Amino acid sequence: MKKVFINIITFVVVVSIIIVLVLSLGEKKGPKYFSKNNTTAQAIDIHPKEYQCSDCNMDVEDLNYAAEIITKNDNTYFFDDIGCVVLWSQKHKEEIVKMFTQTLDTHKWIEVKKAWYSRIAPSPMGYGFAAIENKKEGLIPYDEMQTLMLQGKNLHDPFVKKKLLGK
Amino acid sequence: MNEILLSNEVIVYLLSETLLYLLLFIAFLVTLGLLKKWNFNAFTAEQFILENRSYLVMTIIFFVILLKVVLLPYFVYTIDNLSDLIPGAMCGAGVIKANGYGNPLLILKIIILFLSGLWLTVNSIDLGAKNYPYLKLKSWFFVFIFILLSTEFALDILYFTHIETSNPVSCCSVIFGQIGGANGLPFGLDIPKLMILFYLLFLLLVLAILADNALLTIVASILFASISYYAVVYVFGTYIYELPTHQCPFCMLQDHYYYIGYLVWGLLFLGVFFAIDSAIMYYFFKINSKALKKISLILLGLFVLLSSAYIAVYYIKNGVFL
Repeated sequence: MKKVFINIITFVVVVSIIIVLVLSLGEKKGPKYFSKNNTTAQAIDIHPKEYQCSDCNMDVEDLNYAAEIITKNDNTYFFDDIGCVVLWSQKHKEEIVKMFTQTLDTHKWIEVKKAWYSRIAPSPMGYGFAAIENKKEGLIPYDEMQTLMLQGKNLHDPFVKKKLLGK
Repeated sequence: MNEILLSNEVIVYLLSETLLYLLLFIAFLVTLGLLKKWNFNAFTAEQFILENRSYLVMTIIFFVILLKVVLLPYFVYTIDNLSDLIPGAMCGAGVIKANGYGNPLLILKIIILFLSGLWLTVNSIDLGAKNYPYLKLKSWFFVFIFILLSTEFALDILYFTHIETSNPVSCCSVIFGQIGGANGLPFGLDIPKLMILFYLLFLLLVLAILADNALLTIVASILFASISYYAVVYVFGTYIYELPTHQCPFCMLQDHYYYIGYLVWGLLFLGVFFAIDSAIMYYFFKINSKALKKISLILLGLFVLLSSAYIAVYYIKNGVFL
């Protein structure tokens, strides 16, 4: 009798565990890291906090500074700061097809190499780099921004910060 | 030589590991001889020597395994102490991720300890019988463990010699993804469902042990151990730290939290180990050890009680959950 009772409870517990797992697997969850099947290699429009930055894990909240990398396997990775794009592409071996960034002045997705970069913008990660579509004085091209980022010569460096912002 | 290798804890740890490895190496060589020439039915002088030697070897292995049990918490303590030397590390979480060897090493250590415990069980069954029925089995088992131990020893050396004190590492809140609100839980679970699953799996494990269902005990133990890891890191830990954003398996090992992490993780590890151990004894050797089951039930019960008590005490004190 005792054994039958234990078996019945065990059965109920196992069924409950399966129900909990099925329920949680079926639910839509919080921020995601990347999107699959971007076969057209176009920039994907996103909502604030829909994705997390693939490099620093922060939510991609301020879309003015958002960036995307599309890789050869059709995955799209999202970033909250163009500095994170540089760091991520340095660390990962995935073959990159296209890289897009949002622009501060025209608010649209353009390829990173077609944009110009400010060094003193209040970007989410505080590196200071932000993409601008129309060239102005003081803006630098992508390759120069990439080099400065990799050398650590961004607003995180107190000497650079003092030189650029005077404080 | 870097600062890491000059730290007292690392010197003591690496020296102990080296000495134990040397002892095990001797045991390994003798075990190979035993495996080659062992024949219990032979009444030769050689077999007599082998029997004496096997007893010596088993004693060496027994001694080393017991010391290894002590060395795992000491390794964790060493890692935790190194966080003072490495920039950016606030606890062991950053130190263990200081290079690629850390995490595999820690996982391997836990696996080895688990297998060593099983070896002790087989050894005690073998010594309890008069004709060494499991000598070949436990010798091959030891050879397998020795291969893992050699890998562990190599990883030990590689890990400690490759920690850079000039490179900053991440602190636990970055590693466990709290900054971005990342969901580190498996199967898309959220906190309430994780808690329901935790208590359901505990109930299932207790029922499986009581019903003498060996296979279910093994499966439930493995599931309970994995879900408990997440429950401690993502729920119970936040009550230990009394901070909802602080989710870390290592910080609770520090003195600010009265070293409670050693007790929490220790109870979980030992409880699950004895549950699986008793199931394996029942399934493979047809030995129904009531004592082992009782010990595992007590340890698992204490683990669940202790973890839940943190939530209960916090709620009683503050009137809210985190």
